[in-house]
Amino acid sequence: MSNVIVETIDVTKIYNRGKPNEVTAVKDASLQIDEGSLVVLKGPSGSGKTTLLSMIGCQTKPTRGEVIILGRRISKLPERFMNLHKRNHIGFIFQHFQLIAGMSVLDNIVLPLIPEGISPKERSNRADQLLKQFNLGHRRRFKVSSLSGGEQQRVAIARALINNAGILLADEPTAHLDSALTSDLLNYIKNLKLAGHTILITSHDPIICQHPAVDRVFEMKDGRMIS
Amino acid sequence: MISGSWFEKQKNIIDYSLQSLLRRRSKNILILIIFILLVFGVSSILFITGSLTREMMITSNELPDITVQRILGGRQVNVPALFIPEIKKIPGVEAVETRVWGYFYLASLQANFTIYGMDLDLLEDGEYRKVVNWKNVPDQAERNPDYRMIVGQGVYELLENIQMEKRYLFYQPSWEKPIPFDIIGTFKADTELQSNDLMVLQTEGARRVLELPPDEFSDLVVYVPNPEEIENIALKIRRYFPELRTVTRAQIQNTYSSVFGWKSAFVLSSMLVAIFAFLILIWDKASGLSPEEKREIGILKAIGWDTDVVLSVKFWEALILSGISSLAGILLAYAYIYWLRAPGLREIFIGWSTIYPSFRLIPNVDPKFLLLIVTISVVPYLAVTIFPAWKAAITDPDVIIRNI
Amino acid sequence: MVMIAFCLWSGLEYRDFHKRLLEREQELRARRQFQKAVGLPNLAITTAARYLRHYSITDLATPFHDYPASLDHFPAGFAFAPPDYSSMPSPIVFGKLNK
Repeated sequence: MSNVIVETIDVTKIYNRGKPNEVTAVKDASLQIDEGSLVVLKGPSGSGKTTLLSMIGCQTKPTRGEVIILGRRISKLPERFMNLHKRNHIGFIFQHFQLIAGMSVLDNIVLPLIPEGISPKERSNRADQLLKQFNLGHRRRFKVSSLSGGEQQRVAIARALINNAGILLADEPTAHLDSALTSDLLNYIKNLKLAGHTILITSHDPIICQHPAVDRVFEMKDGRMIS
Repeated sequence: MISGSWFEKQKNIIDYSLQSLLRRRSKNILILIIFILLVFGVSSILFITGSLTREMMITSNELPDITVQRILGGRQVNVPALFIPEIKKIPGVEAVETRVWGYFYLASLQANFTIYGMDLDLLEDGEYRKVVNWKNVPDQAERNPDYRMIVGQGVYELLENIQMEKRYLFYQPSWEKPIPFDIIGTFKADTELQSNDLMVLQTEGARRVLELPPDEFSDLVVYVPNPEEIENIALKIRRYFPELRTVTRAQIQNTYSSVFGWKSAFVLSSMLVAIFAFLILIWDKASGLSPEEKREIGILKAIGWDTDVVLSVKFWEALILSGISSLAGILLAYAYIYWLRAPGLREIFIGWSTIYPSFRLIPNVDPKFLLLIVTISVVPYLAVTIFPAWKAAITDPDVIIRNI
Repeated sequence: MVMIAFCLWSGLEYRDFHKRLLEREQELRARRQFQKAVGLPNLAITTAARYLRHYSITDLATPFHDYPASLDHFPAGFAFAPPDYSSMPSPIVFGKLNK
């Protein structure tokens, strides 16, 4: 019997509550994700999948409902503990990468380790492993602004992995990639799954949704889950 | 995952703050420069006025108890000898001494000298001997002892220019011919601030040069042994002799402490400029973070940094910037005033003088004042940087990421 | 490394300061002697005008003495504040003269 490590129960997110521009991004969304599985959250843009991913990724708290990660109810936790949980267990890969432009590749990758009090040498060591894994060794000291889109995404993935997180969340990872890079990316993701990570991807790209490694596809429309 | 110690964490945070500052190098360097200039300006002025005030105060206890002048038609005139016994009669007065002094303007050099008459033998024989660099005057016995003088360093240098440093020829239009004065010494450099423009002549010679009638004096000084009595006696002198004006030592010391006070046009106008510039700097900062900075905060929060860590980074950024600026500003001001001797600034004090001291001032640094400068420059800057950062830091990273 | 340079510089300044402190003792003695011998107040900072050179014993009118309604026209007057005459009471306040 598989372990459910991510679960959402009737999760709702309302932005600008009470104001004239109030919008309900997600309504009563429920899902369960088993450990070690690769899951895709599918839907057109505006369907609320990014918002749902954010809530699972502890980037924002749900207005109603419950998000449970590794047995912990996120919505009940004070910010500090939520952050700790996030740091220890979740790696987030943003749609637009969200790297800090003026910093080098190495510095961007080790960013999550800084508040942990890890020494520079130790940080460097861990980063070097990832750099090798993602073929970024030769770009170690380069500023990220000088990298190509594909390279930047690999940096974003490496950053998400630096904390040895078990759960990886990726928001529209193939949005800026051509087909060659897309297949590269899918390879990486498959390897990560084989290594034991649990991966949740949002996408509206059919190539991803129909990939053989995908275990489950959830579909969303207008903020609601429809499958 | 292994977590490091608290120290490592702080070290990391400070490192990151430094790195963060260097990332926005040009903007931060600009702020640094403006800040340093401001602190430098304010500190320089406070240093120089503090030192000058201190120089004035240092010897002020040696001033005479009461100085008595005669005012006629709103102008100072000579004091006739007949006042002296009358003042001596006032109970509490220990002694009344006379002074012969005035000014002498040398048109060819555009120099204003202060001339003071006293018995030079007192300087030669007594405890004051060490104050003078005595010079060898050949055939001293044959020269007129009434026409001797000791000059200050500034005067001596001027006279060297016109080759009159051994003998100076005084001349007034009403005289038949100029009178030569032998320069028998110069005042030591230690007394430069007091003696620089001074010519101390033998009393008789001074009277001649100042055209002082035999029974009159420039002013009087009154010595009162009991300090509590000084005001009373000064009051009595003014009452008994309405044409006399008194200035007590306390009053002189009072002017010393207020000559560079905040009401002085000089200090006030410079402070206003500094405050104005500082407000502009602060206002620019207070108008919020740039979009990149906001984005950066969002990213940091999104990858799991606690709010207080993010704020610590901003705090250290601001502290490092303002701390370095204020320290550098103060050190630069110190070097400017006490090593370079304040070129530019000292010209303001000198004005149109042609004889002026070299401005080798004694550092008069009050630690309270330094602390004040640092506080009023660092604290507002911190406050103004942290507040917008705090507003950004408590926002959900989700919201920030979406908006960019 | 910047820190180290900074500390070194501060150290040098402090040493210079200390040296000055020692020299000062000697200067002070010389100045006190001089002041006792020649009792004129005020430092010889600016000799442009008599009311600037000896501002603390100058009378009220001197800065404006060149002609009626003249203004203080020496630039150094900007740096020095006029002496505080408020502490010198007017004889009128004290009523009749008593000899």
